[in-house]
Amino acid sequence: MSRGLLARKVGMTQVFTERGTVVAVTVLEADTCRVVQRKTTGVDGYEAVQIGFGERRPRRTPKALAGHFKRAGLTPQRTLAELRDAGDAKVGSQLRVDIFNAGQRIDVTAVSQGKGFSGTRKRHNFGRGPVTHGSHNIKQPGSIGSTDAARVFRGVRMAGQLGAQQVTVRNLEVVRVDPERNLLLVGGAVPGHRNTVVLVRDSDRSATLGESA
Amino acid sequence: MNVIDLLAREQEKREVPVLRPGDTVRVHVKVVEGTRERIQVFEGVVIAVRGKTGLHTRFTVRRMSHGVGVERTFLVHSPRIDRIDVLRHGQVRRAKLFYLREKVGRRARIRERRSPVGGPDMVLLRTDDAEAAAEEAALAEPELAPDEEPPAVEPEAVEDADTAGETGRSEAELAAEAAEREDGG
Repeated sequence: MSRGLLARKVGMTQVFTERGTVVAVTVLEADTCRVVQRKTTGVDGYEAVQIGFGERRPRRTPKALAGHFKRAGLTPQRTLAELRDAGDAKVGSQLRVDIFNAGQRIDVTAVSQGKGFSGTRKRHNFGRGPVTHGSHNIKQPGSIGSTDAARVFRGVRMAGQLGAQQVTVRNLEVVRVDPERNLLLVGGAVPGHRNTVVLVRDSDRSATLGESA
Repeated sequence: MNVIDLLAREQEKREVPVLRPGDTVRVHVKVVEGTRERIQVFEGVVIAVRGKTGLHTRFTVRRMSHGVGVERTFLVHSPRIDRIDVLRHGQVRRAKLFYLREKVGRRARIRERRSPVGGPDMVLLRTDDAEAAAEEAALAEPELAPDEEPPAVEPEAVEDADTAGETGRSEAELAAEAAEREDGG
């Protein structure tokens, strides 16, 4: 049993629990998640399952990739990802949301929403300088180091690109599983904008951890 | 319709009363006590309605309980709410009646709105179920005949009276009942 899949972030809404409380949920749709390849210790040096998501026009697919999908008996897909928790998923088969149960804990990995080149206030939660009394220090970051170092240390927080990087949110709760529509309702927020392809994995990865240890 | 709207639609109640600030309402809330579930009634004035339409619509009800003001906010579509009865429409001039918090007794009164502002008292939300609702309404029709003498109901009995009987009560009776409550309080 492969314990993860690729899905599309549909958006957020809220649902009522049986107790009448409301939870904010992110809706994920796993309509086109398929197993593309099995990696084995013999051939690849490690055990894994490669899964794909989405559609790609055959004419726009590089021939090497097209052959890769053809081997699995699939049409070309947009995104590929690997799961180390290999399980027994058959190449070419579809992964559906019913591999998860309500109440289960999952980790969701995706590319976060890009914020562009952002200042230190937004990017690192810095404060700001005085706004009035002739101050021109409103958005400046302040000191970036001591004088005797004579250089700026690596990793000093400054303005720069914010967002649009891979983020994993761990230990999210599966609030509801809708196998009919292949929907996963996840408690809380998930990285990325709408239509982002997200990787959903079981939070408990002890199976793979044991393997690598 | 997109998936998000569908999910919201599925959770919405088919029919909800139109709530306006100033209305006096009786909210039937399901409460769990130990192992058994019973219905608790919270009656008071609607002082705020937030989120006019959709799943997230909330309203705040204020009542005086033993001389202490108590406010509760409910979600219209919550499964914990069994029923909402609108007892009386209030004539008010603002959308949020937070000023009532500073008023006590006679100053906290709200004039009754005699002429309806317009629009139906209940809103049908699920058009896909419109037919089923129409059938239901047709079944309830005989009891709703306007000229018929409305059943005399004691405040305690009201809870047990069926929905059709209650909505069938005349405005005058509602007013009388409201006056009676005011005298009592």
